[in-house]
Amino acid sequence: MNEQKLIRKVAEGDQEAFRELVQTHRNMVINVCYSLLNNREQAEEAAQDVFLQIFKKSGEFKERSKLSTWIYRIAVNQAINTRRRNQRFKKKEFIRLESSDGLMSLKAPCADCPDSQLEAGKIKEAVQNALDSLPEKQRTVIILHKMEGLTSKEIAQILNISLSSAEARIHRAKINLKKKLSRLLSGL
Amino acid sequence: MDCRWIERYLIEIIEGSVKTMDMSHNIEEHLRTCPKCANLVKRFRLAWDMLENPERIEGSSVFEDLLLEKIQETQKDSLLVEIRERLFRALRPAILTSGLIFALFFGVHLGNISKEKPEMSPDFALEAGFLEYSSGDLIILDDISRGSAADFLLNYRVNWKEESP
Repeated sequence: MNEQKLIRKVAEGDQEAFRELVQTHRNMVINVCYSLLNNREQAEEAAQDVFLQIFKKSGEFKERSKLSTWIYRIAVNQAINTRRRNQRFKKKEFIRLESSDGLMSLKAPCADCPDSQLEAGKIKEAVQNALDSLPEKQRTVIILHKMEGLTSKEIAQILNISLSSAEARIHRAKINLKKKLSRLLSGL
Repeated sequence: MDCRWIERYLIEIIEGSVKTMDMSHNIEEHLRTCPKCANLVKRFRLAWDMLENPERIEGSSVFEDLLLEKIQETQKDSLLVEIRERLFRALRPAILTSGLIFALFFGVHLGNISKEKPEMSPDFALEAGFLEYSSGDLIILDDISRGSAADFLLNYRVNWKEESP
């Protein structure tokens, strides 16, 4: 079944179509939320809310954009809202200590090498801290660009901004991340 | 070439996008002789790789069941909201009519209160400012219109005075 047909069926209340939609996009949604939230439980909960919204708003989907772009948009917004809510209630440091799996979202490239294991852990922490210290808009684009591998065009469509704005935001985020990372990495 | 240049071109170095051959050569040369910068580039490369290859997770086995549960709860909630809205829509004319009747009765009641002209002692009327002296005679200000604020105040004060011990 193609995307348009599938979403139309979901809008009509077809549970089988919805199940198919969830199965197709489940991992993508969970991983976007995981990249943005750094916490497995929160990512799963946010992903469920994303699908709930899709179920409710399926009638509002305009077939001008791709279904995956629309789903990405809902997922990014949901994850950002969840993150804001968490930040409002907990202090940043506390979150970092509590979510022990937060740093695990970054895979160590050379985990087998015993002498680099400790350093890899520290680098993971530095990357996470550098990402967390970025302004929210820059953090979102760099995660979508680097971790999710999306192009500037796709990011522009998801965030509903112009292509040039997306490119500029990615560029600024890269520069900012480089500055923060190099400072943190030099201190290791 | 000094260490600041390495820091400045970190991304270009690890992405292999240094613009000129000369610069590329100078950077390589500097990295060979400066262990601090070489270490920074190595760490930065690791960090960049981590960003580009994040760990991927899969939803738990109960993901869909929990989702369906949530949807059913929401549907139940929305059903309740719909029932409440329909009930309100159905009862709205009755609520409005009873409100109107109440307002009517209340208005009539207020009107009856202001119709009763109170007996008031000259002392109290003087104190309340409804009497005044004019060439040695007491004059009652009769031109207080019925239902006006002054009339209401007068009634209220007279009643209050009479009720208080």
